[in-house]
Amino acid sequence: MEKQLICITCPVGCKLTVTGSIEAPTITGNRCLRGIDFAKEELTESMRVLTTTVRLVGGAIPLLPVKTEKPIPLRLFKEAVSEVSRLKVLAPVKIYDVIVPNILNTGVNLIATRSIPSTSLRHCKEP
Amino acid sequence: MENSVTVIGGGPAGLVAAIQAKQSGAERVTIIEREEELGGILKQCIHNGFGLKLFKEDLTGPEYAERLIDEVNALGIEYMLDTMALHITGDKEVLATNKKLGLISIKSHSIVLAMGCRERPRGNLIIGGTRPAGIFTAGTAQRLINIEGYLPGKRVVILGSGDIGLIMARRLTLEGAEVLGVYEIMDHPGGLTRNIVQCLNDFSIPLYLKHTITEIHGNDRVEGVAIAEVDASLEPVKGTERFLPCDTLLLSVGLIPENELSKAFGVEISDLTKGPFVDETMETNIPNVYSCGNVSVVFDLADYVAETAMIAGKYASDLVDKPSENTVRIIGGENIGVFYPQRYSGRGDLVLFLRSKKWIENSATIVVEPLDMNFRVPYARPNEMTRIKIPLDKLKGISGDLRVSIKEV
Ligand SMILES: Cc1cc2nc3c(=O)[nH]c(=O)nc-3n(C[C@H](O)[C@H](O)[C@H](O)COP(=O)(O)OP(=O)(O)OC[C@H]3O[C@@H](n4cnc5c(N)ncnc54)[C@H](O)[C@@H]3O)c2cc1C
Ligand code: SF4
Repeated sequence: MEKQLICITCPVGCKLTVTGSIEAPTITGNRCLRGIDFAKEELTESMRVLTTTVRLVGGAIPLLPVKTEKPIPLRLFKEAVSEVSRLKVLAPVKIYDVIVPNILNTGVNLIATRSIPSTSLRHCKEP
Repeated sequence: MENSVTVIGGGPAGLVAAIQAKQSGAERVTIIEREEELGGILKQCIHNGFGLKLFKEDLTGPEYAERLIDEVNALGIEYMLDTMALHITGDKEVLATNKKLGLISIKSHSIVLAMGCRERPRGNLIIGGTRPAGIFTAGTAQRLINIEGYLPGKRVVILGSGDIGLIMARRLTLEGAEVLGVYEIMDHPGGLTRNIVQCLNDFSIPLYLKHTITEIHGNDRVEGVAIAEVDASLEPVKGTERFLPCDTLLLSVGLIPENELSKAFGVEISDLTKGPFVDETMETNIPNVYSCGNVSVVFDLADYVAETAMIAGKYASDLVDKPSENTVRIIGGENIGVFYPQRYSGRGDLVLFLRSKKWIENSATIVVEPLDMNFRVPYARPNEMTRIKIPLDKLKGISGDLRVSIKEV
């Protein structure tokens, strides 16, 4: 096998070449060791953090931004988004509240990435 | 009212500048923000990839904003929301307006400009054809989807491969739209390589380099666009034109600093960065007026924005008027596209941000003359800023211009 990959672990974006077998691959082109881990994982299952939004009821804005606490398999993204799009969450929400525990049985929670109070946003401190 | 430091703009630049000014001892710090919430553009950037340098964590835009806002609240920094800064007078009085108080005047010792940037509007683009509904800048689409919860279209073409366009290609796909392709006039992508991988390749969205849109079709709504290849002088090649049916066109064609306010106040603006000329303390040509973040130069990392804001906030809090030192110019030499700041006044370390003109994929050296200092970098690319830091003691006694260049090795 010979496969070209680009490491997305950091902004450098090393071009990796993978040869050998999936079980014992030889990886070149990485500028650091994290590139090896990335390539090994990518060969078996691409893992990414999913970020999306959930409908919010009773908040000052209509959507709550969320993310998976850890990377989940990329192939589950569409299914995860369609599950999440059926949900409605009630305000108030605190940042890092669990919105969907163990999403699609991945063992990973979907969590809120901001706090939203239930009433108005205007908590302006007038000088 | 009388202030020590007034910060205009409540995005990451303004928040960090205010926090730093307060922590450095400024008594009264006020942020003026025209929107209903603090956070700036971060609020709509729900994706991750922020904060690796500042927080040593991979954060989304809203998390990054919330951490800063929590700190602003904890420090007792004042802020006025829904308030638009309109003008700055000669004796550093900021005139602003909001619905409740009408016209407000805030006098202060220092002012920090942190108004951010905005997208190039489509008016600047020369595309033939009609102007139907369904044409959006990538940032407007980002706001519609992520904040307002509204999908701008079903069959989408993206012009330009800047990061915001790439991020939106992924977002639209996940929300059920079909992204037909990203068309880029240059021979290399505008956005980061990792965004090409995780936003396009991951979802099999094609990227067409050396292509442009020559015409928009449709009366009420976009019905399609004409796509063509371009030659070396970026002119469409005859015979390559084809029609692509779609209902939405997204423009991701670059950002420009928002400096109407600064210009009217007499702040000198650089042609290269489209932002104020500053020295290493982020001070503009007007004493005690500082500029940081994307209003200064378009950065590609929020963490770099934060670094310039820390510097601005620190110096803005120093209420003792500084004697003007011997200021030298910084000059862009070989292979320098954009550089920032443009002056060195001998007061502190020099943190220099650079963009290369050429793509150098193997090692490069950044040379600062006449200093005896070389910086080795693994690569230099036009779409990624490089940052170097020169300590004050290396710069002691410098008198002529500082010339910075990037050399291939
Ligand atoms: C649409 C868009 C999407 C982006 N996406 C990303 C991304 O995904 N990742 C990334 O790293 N960078 C992104 N950027 C770049 C982004 O601008 C910076 O990362 C960062 O947000 C810049 O911080 P800032 O504080 O300089 O500007 P901003 O975040 O833009 O904040 C400026 C603030 O000033 C306020 N303001 C402006 N003028 C006035 C006035 N006259 N009176 C009162 N308030 C005023 C604005 O309302 C705004 O809140 C994006 C930029 C844009 C335009
Ligand atoms: S291999 Fe290391 S340096 Fe290269 S992109 Fe991956 S993490 Fe970055």
